[in-house]
Amino acid sequence: MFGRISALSRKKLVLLTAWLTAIAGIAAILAIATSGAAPSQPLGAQNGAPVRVPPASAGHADPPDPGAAAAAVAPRGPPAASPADAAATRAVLGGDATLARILQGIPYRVTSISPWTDAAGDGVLGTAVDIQLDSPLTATTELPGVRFDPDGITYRQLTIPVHVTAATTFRLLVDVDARQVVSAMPPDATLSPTPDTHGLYRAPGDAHGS
Amino acid sequence: MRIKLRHLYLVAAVCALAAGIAVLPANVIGSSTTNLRTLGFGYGDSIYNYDFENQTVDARHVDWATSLLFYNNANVNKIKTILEGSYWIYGSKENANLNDSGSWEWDQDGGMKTDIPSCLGSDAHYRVYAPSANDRFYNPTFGYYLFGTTHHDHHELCDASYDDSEGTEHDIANRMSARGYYTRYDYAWFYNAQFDTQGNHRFNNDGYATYVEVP
Repeated sequence: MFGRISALSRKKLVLLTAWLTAIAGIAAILAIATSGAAPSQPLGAQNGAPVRVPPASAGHADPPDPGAAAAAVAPRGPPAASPADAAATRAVLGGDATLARILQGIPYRVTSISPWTDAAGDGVLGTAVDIQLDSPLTATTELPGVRFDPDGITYRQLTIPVHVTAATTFRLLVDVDARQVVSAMPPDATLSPTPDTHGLYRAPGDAHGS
Repeated sequence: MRIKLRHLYLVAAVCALAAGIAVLPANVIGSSTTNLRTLGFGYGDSIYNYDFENQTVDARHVDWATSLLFYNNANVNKIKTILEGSYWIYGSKENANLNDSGSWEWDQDGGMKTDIPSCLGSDAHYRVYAPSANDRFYNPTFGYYLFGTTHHDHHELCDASYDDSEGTEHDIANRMSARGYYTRYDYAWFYNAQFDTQGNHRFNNDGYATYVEVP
């Protein structure tokens, strides 16, 4: 009798060992597959605001976005310039000889005026202005531009010879204190170089990408 | 023979110049934000929601807002290979601070651009970041994943300016979707909505990141 029980136990023991070996093997394979990238903290640990988890599979609702409440009160566009800066900017635009030369009398309307600060966000350099022309501008002209120094605060002014084709919008930078439009650029797609444009290329060591 | 050698030197010089122009030095201008914070992906994984001009966490020296997340089975090289038909020029390196192993570390990427720098031209530019050791994060919720920033470069060799993170995010979403990858534009709030003009850096980021599933 003891011999029979022993035989059955041995069979069960062998079966159990086989199962345990298989489970251990699968665990080892999973461990190797995710080696070097295994989560280092327990499930649910968070460092920072939780982000939305990936979309569910087809037929299931998307998981909620934990940031939805914060998103609801976030800004949706640039801040408007102060009334004083906006008024000063409009006055500069009305009297700026360079802008008048570029636009050749084409009427325009101002679509936005927002603050233009230095790179640190502290010092106000002036205003950033978007304008919409009443009719397209095509011309060979010189456009004012600014090239920032590495400090991100000071800049040099330059003049860029270009062909402009069918531009209907311009982005302007206005130095309110100096009462001057220091940059006036239409969309890049409307610009092409003139033979003189290449002379403005700077040496690679002088450039700062972003 | 001497003439041929001169030609070789000339070709080498032109190549070196082109390389110097294409890979511009790291940005030292930077910008500032009031939105800088960490984002948690679970299992202790974290990132900052902006990349940085230097390897210092500093809200006054950020570069661009995080706007992309590639998940499931992504890695840096896979993403760059998928997009290399359009994004083929190396950009200047920036830095991301991230946590996948219980401690914070830095990753650096120059990213890829759609065109070489020029006086009047522009290009779309993305950078992707992940733990350097594996070029990807891992956790059971997101699988193998990484994140990225986006923007546009303008007139880099003349009056350089930088903007339109949304435009490049949208371009990448469209390209990934067109290649058959399940893409959700502006899917998740990343707490980095920013709209302002700082120096030659114009932010117009809506604060939502696009998720792309990469099998």
